[in-house]
Amino acid sequence: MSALKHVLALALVMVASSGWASAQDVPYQRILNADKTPQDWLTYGGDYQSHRFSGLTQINKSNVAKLRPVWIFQRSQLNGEFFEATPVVADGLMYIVEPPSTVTALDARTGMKIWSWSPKMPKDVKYIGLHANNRGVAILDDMVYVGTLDCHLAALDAKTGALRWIVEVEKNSDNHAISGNPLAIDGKIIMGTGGGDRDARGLLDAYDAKTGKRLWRVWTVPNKGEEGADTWGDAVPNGGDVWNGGSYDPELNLLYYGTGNPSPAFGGQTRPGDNLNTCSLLAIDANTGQIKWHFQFTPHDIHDWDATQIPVLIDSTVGGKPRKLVAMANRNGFYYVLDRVTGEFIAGAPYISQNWAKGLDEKGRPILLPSYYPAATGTLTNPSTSGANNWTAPSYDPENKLFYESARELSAVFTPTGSNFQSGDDAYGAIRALDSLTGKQKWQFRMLAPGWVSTLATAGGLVFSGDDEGDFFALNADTGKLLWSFPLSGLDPRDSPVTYSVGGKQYVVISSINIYAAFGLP
Amino acid sequence: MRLVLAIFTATAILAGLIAVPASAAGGPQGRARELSTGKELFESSCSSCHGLDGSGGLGPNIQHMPATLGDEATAKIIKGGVPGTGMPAFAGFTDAQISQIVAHLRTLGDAAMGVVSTGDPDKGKAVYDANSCASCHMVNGVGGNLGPDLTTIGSLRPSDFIRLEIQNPGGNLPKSPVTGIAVGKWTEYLIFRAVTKDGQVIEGMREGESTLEIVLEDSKGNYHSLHKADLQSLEKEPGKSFMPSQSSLSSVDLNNLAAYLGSLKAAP
Repeated sequence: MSALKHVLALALVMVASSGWASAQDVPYQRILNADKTPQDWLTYGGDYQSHRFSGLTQINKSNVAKLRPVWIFQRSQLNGEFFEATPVVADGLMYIVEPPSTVTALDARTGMKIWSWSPKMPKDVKYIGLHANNRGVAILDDMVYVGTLDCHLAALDAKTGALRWIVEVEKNSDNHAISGNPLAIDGKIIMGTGGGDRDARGLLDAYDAKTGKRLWRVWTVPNKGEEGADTWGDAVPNGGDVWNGGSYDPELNLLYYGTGNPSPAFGGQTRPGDNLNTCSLLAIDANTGQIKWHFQFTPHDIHDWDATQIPVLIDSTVGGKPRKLVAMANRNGFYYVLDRVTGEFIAGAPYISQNWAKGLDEKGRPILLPSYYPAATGTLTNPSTSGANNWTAPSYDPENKLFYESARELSAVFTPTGSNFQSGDDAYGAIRALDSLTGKQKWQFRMLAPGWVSTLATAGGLVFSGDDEGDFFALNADTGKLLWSFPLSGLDPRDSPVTYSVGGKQYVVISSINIYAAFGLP
Repeated sequence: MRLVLAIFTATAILAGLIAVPASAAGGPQGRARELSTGKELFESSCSSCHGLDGSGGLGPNIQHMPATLGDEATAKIIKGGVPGTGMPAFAGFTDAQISQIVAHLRTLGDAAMGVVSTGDPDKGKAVYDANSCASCHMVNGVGGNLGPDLTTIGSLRPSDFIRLEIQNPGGNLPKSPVTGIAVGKWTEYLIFRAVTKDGQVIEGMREGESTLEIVLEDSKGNYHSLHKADLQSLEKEPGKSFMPSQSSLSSVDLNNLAAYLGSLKAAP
């Protein structure tokens, strides 16, 4: 009790100095205009468009070489899982998720823990095909929202961590689990589930943000007899789970979410056909849950190439006309640009040295090479099961119109029933800057190994990311030249750096295995 | 090199399957069916973490799990998972399916163990000492550390494979046992030739590498911590090894040495 009093007393003092008084008030309008408040990081992707682009310029090309660590937050409980959450930052408070589903609020200036909330987690919780970790929270008004590993959605008081409501999204005993982030829009919380590798049927839900009442549900794959069921042969459609984050266009009132692979992942003989709507991008009416259009990247996937990468909403000009676009650097190795009003395919190109398709036809469908179907003795295919990209997010700079992607050049030997990764010495990774309208590479920064770190672009002319050995670095956004790096170390960190500012000082924060580390100028 | 390893593994797996006793599970055909189902289940549900041959990936090497823990304990782990790790409970499998997976795992273990060498381990120990193997290799904490620690080499490699390695060091460099989901296994003891911008040549085994840095250990045991940006070239030298070839040993000594090393096993 005395410890609690101490924390409360501390909090009151801090409120006076850093403005936490408004930490419990993040209305929809504020998220809608996230670019007007670059001191905060209000959603998973930084804004509804998932640009992961910050307008902050205090840290820039001219001074980033002086960046140094400011604070490090370490986990007290180690359970073999890693930090993967994108921090959400509002008014000097940072919300992270400790694996599997513990929400923790930190003082964004010092890394000091303010409160934590943990759900009661069943011992036999199932999370097949996923890790027991979490990609982050959503914030809206005075609440933060988190999906839990055992497939619940919880709403917490943003200031105190007290539980406001918790609902079951779907039965964990049916292999549904959550590691992805919720998305908060006007009065609604959007949440999907994972587990499609073990026959969980893909879904996306909307909940009333105040009460937790479910407003709609959309299934990503049809029931027998429904439209699209004829793309499954005699199989019961399964998989297509929505296990990663999505984007939102408030004007069109459309949500954009990618779907996972069909189940079973490999072989595919039991499910002849395209297997709609797996490995697809869905545009979903935010009021009704109705699918407005779908675009399938990998029809009849047999390589575990979920299409759950982050869709990035881009407003640009194509052929002299302004267009509303959505871009995705897909796990299958191709970069796609679609019209986000209609789903029409506009452009696409490989962003890794893939070897399974000759290219894309005029509708964006891959033109398969015979090697798409693995031989019984094994076929070396790029990308591997883990993909040209997996769940980490790209960033988009609306000023220079470049799309920054952590690309994975890693093959695997596929058989009809599984796969085995290529030797590490034959693989590599790269941060690649792509022309956002064509996917054509402008520059790359080559890394020793395929990475698992999102990119972050800033108006300071920088792209932050990291490599698989734990180096956190800043690149010149125009050239890809390395300007600064810091060895955080650790095997296979899976991170998403963000930036924010408190009291006029800009910070860049990244996680690595069991820590969050914040950097700033001296 | 990877191809050679793959062929070796495939041959060994075939040998392991053929060696399965015909009396088990209703005769050879029934047994083959069981194993085939076990293989399919393993490859579809286990291999993404443990590798197609069970030698490890995101999860550990489990080729020898049935041999060291027993079938029942292995089945229990599959059914119940390992709390606090990435190993989930496969509660959806029937007991029959789990025993099929365990049976398949045993064939992987048999394949990895290979044929037992015919040499005399005690005489092999004398060959080991006479040839100063301990100047670079460690056994139970005694010896040098330039080469691999051999304390449990008999559990990791069959004697025949060890004999080949002694004659042709560097021919089949091991892959690191610790891997992530991101990358396949890295080649260990790989020799690099680095040339600095001022022309200094450093040849050494990779002890550590990142995007920006590399640490090499030369043949005298000196470490070189190098910024890649300071190098004019950095090349891998696959097939090369600091270990001198022992092809001058008589075939009897070679057999005995391989038998000795093959007898060095992990504590049960």
